[in-house]
Amino acid sequence: MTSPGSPTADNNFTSLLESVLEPAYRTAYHLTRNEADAEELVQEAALLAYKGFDRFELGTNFKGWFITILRNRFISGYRKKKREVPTVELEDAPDLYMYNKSLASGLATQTSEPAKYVIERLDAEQVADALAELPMEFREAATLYFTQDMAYQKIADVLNVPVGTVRSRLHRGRKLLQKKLWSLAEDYGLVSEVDATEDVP
Amino acid sequence: MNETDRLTCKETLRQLDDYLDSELDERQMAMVRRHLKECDMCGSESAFEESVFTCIKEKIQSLPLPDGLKDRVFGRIDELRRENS
Ligand SMILES: [Zn+2]
Repeated sequence: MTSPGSPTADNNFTSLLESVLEPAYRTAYHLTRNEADAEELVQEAALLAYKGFDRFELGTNFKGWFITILRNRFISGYRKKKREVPTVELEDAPDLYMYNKSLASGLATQTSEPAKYVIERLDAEQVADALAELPMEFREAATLYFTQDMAYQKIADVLNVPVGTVRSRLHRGRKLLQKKLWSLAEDYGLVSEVDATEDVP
Repeated sequence: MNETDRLTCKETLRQLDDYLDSELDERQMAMVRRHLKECDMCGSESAFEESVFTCIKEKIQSLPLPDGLKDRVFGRIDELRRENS
């Protein structure tokens, strides 16, 4: 039995925390969209994890445990800040959004790797902004997916929702993200705008 | 694998995200893989989607970490440790 503060527990905790600090910061940064807030969030999560380390079962998934603490901490702060969340009609995006756009705009004939062509030319902060603009439930799942390389079940454990919910949030969130990235690419003139062919009389 | 195991393009597209994330069971993975090999259209859609996700992941993970983050985090923990002892 190790209690927080005992030398063995401290050594275990230090090496476990060290191994997850960088990916945890990435998640925090994409959730908060701000370096100072991200660091504060990681520090708070680290202190909470230290205090609660006797509840962590050695040999189980420390990263999942720590990211759960960090995410819960973020959500409680976020809820405090944003008391009333306006209910907006969720926009949707069709399947294969960028693929079809890159065919319609002619980009697919100009380059052999159209997706790479578009995304590589966007700034990392622009991509992060597009991710942050997703409605919160899609944004959380997509952030864990893109920053942690987590399997659906692990994401479900962190968010405390069924795995099917994660699956649908991720699928929908990533379609919306494609739509946002393509419209950014249009705004920056990386791709030519296409008129919706369905609207032709 | 027999003929009843063949997927249509529509079924393949519906399972594409799960396939790319290796989130299907072995049998389903094999069925999608087979369709993608045999169907140029779905094969190219799949390659495109895979490239989108990989590129976004690279962008998202490319943001730099702040200098000294580790020292500051462990500094806070040391403070707490001292307060408690
Ligand atoms: Zn097909």
